[in-house]
Amino acid sequence: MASKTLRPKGRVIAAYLAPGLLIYCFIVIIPLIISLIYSFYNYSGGASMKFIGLKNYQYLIKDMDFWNSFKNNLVIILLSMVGQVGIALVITALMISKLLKFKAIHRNIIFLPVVVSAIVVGFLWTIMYNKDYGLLNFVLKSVGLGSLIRPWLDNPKYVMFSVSMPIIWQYIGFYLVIFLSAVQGISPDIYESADLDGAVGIKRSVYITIPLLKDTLKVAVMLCIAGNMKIFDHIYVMTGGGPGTSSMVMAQYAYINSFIMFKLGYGSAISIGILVLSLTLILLSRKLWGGKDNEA
Amino acid sequence: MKHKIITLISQIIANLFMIMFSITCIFPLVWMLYSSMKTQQEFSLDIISLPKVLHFDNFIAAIKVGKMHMFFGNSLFNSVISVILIILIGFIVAYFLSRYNFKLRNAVYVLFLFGMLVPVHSLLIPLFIQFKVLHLLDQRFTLIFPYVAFGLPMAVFLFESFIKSTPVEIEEAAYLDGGSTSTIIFKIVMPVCRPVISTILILSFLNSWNEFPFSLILLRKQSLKTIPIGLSNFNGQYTVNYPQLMAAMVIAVLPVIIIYLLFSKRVIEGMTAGSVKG
Amino acid sequence: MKRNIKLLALLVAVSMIFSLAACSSSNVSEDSTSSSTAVQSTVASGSSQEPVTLSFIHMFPNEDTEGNSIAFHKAMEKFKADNANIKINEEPLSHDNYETKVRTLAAGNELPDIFIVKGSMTSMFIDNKLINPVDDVLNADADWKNSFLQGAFDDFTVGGKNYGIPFQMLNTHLIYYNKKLLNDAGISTFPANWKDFLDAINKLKAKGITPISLGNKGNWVAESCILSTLGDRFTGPEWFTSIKEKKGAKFTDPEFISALAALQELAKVGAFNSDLNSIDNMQQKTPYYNGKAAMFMEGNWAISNVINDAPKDIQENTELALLPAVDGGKGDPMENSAGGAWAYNVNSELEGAKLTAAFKILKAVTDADYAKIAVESNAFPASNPKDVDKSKLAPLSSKYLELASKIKAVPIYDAQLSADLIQVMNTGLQQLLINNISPEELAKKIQAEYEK
Repeated sequence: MASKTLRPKGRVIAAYLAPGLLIYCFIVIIPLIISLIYSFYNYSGGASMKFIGLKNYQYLIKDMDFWNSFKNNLVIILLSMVGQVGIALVITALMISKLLKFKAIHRNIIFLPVVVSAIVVGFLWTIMYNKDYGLLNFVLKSVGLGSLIRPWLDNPKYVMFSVSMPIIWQYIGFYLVIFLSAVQGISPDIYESADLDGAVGIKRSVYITIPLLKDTLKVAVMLCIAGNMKIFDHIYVMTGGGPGTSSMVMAQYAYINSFIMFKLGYGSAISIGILVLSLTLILLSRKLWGGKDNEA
Repeated sequence: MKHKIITLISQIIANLFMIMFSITCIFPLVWMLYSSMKTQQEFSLDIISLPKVLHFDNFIAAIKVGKMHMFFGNSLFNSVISVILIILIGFIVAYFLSRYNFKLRNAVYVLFLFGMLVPVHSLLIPLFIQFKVLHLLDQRFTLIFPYVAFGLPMAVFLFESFIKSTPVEIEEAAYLDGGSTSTIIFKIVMPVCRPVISTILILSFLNSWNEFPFSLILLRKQSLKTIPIGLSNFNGQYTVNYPQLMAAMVIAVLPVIIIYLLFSKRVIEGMTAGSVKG
Repeated sequence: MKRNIKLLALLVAVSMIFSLAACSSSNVSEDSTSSSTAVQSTVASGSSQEPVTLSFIHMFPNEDTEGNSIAFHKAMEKFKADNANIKINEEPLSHDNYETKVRTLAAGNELPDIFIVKGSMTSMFIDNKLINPVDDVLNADADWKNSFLQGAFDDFTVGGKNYGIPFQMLNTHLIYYNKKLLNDAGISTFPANWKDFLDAINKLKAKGITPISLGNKGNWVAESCILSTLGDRFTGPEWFTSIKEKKGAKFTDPEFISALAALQELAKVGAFNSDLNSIDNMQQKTPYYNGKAAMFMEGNWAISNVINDAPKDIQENTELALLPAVDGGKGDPMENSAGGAWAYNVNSELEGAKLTAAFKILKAVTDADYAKIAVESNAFPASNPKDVDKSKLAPLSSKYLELASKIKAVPIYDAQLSADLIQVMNTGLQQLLINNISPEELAKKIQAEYEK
């Protein structure tokens, strides 16, 4: 941190921050406040608005569909934390180690799913899970595990796991790009001094890399929570939230309320609920990390 | 000896795993490409089989009927301008957040967190009314505002974590030499951030390119609309012409892949230039 | 860094060129329309009219190849050629996006001059004074008014007034069956009662064929294409009227529960494929096209799909039927869930020349002449077509028109009940079909939402 006498004055900082903050508040914060106001009304668009105080929130707290979809989001977040962030870290370590061949090719290819639209990804994984010609059942049958075959997307018990897999798979590349750029901030000397050959090498590179990526990891975890609290397209393509509401996620629930049932007031209350729950989760993850308040 | 065998085995496992993983990653694009050359009938009879005859009619239809070239131009305009602004503004904000402990620092941080967490759909109607009142609907630059604003949080957080991990000594020396704040930010700190700039560029280009709800709500003129809206036009109420949709998607996905291939080298530049070669 | 900047500069340049090109090409097209306008108006100089500009949001993008969209474009092209003084700024959107956008526009009180309203949106639009009744306009034009089919206005009638001009007549329930597969299983005529229907299903199953292919991922298929009609077989139409007008009927009435039970029974005896909740209405046709399923149930819009996508032999063997009568049911076996579902209306603030022009457009996309174009595009309009050239129709379309002339329209649930109720019903049906909820429990759940 630059010493006190040398740092620019508050006014200078404010001047630098102003343009960004202005546009940001205009687009995000003001509508958010308006949305908060809607959540106190019984509002279905147009001129008729009825103030109902906290009724929407009282209803939200008892709304089992909402909490069920929150639970589904939690499942995705937990699986993604291990799957997306975890696997991306392992691949980052592999990229640093000397074990791996064709690094440049792998690096380029792994990012490709990120650019493919959710429709295509959802579509392909539905084919993957298909009961008649799905790859998954084919593999299970051919290795003699035919008894494990399940209606992957049609049984409320497994559907959340089935729909999480494509999401995890698709975004490994996203975190990989972030980690690889962060590794650049680490001085090459550190790796040079460590012997990264062989099996021990990969272990070592994980041990060296993780602590150095601490700040980036925090951001990655935050992105993972934020992204998966808002996820909706993939699941919509694969199951539409069904069977019943068993794979419904919060963002879809908010969307259905606001735009299908046209309960704009209640839809806003759900969105505020999502925001509060997401913030709580992120703060919780920070606490678990042992971060202090000045890390925000 | 034993050590060497273990090394060899782990090498084989690691490479096999990565090769298999990479194959799954490239398959969707391959599938999209060959599906785009099937007829609707072929597609509805069997969704995985290869086309019997390659036919490119779907691409012609995608451009002619779907006007993909027009949507393409609009998307490129919005995305490029937005990305430049996101990087510039995000970098400045992140620099002050990471280096100075000013009074409202935490408040600013949390403010940006909001933007990453709020479900976009809940802001659509308020934002629509706001834009309507200020006569900002339906302009060529309309979409730049939301794209920049929603691109900022991720850029700020990634820049911030990166700047924090870089040494502060050079800046301090520059301050002692009497360098102005702007010189220090742009001439000294920004070049160091090269890898993360490329990352943010790739990711925010991708986000702006694929953004859907704002483009749907804030624009009315057909001539201003973007690629995702163009793609969605292939969906009928009860039927979807998938091969044509795939053809349009192949066109739509190309720029993102090109941007990635151009800039991903820079993400990794230091790595290959340094001691650890790929 | 320098290279980055160069690349960025290059990108900016390219994007500018692209957007300029887009601008200029759109300018060109606008110019060409205005020049053709000039030509037209000089030709029709006798009746020189004030130019009018109208905005029009609809759900028929050029890319959409469904019959309705094709017919709409043909009719609009003709209208534009005949009415050079009326300039129309269209905003076409795909169906789902249209719904999101029109609701946002309604909430922001920014509706364009002409738009399309869904049956279930009507009361919200009326409450916010966004639309007016269309009766006066229709009454002034008897030919137009009398061309509409019975039941076409039902979805938009509130307090005895009509709040929309329908353009399509959906029959949401039809059984498409492969007569060869049924014959092979020893079923020579389509079953006429529920017992025979179940019997047929068992025979088909024994042959290793999926009796009914169902794709209910979108969760409206089971309700709109099956239950709306199956329910009527048990309850009869009066029950629904009573439900709609809140005059005492309940979803927990034994008739409605029997209907739910019958649907569940079909699932229990294995009439459907096991992945019925994870494939959609397009995918449900794939097994049928491949000869692996004997039937599927979908509305009349699927006729053009079968004509375009099914292999020739399957198409030739395809016949249409309705659900058979049920024992003790109050409904007529020729009753079928049908309606307009969507209808045009104009902004309530329109007046003068603009208002006249707007209805002139609407007439062109709904009247008997339009109906002729629609039928010939394999779409099914809300009005009776004038002298259709039968030779232009695919055989399946002819079969349908013959059946349709005998059908008695009863309401489609999702076109007339409120969206929240339908949401509960639809998600519940998904559970019902995998035996996760009993008919009684589901009926209670729907009733609870109804009483809210």
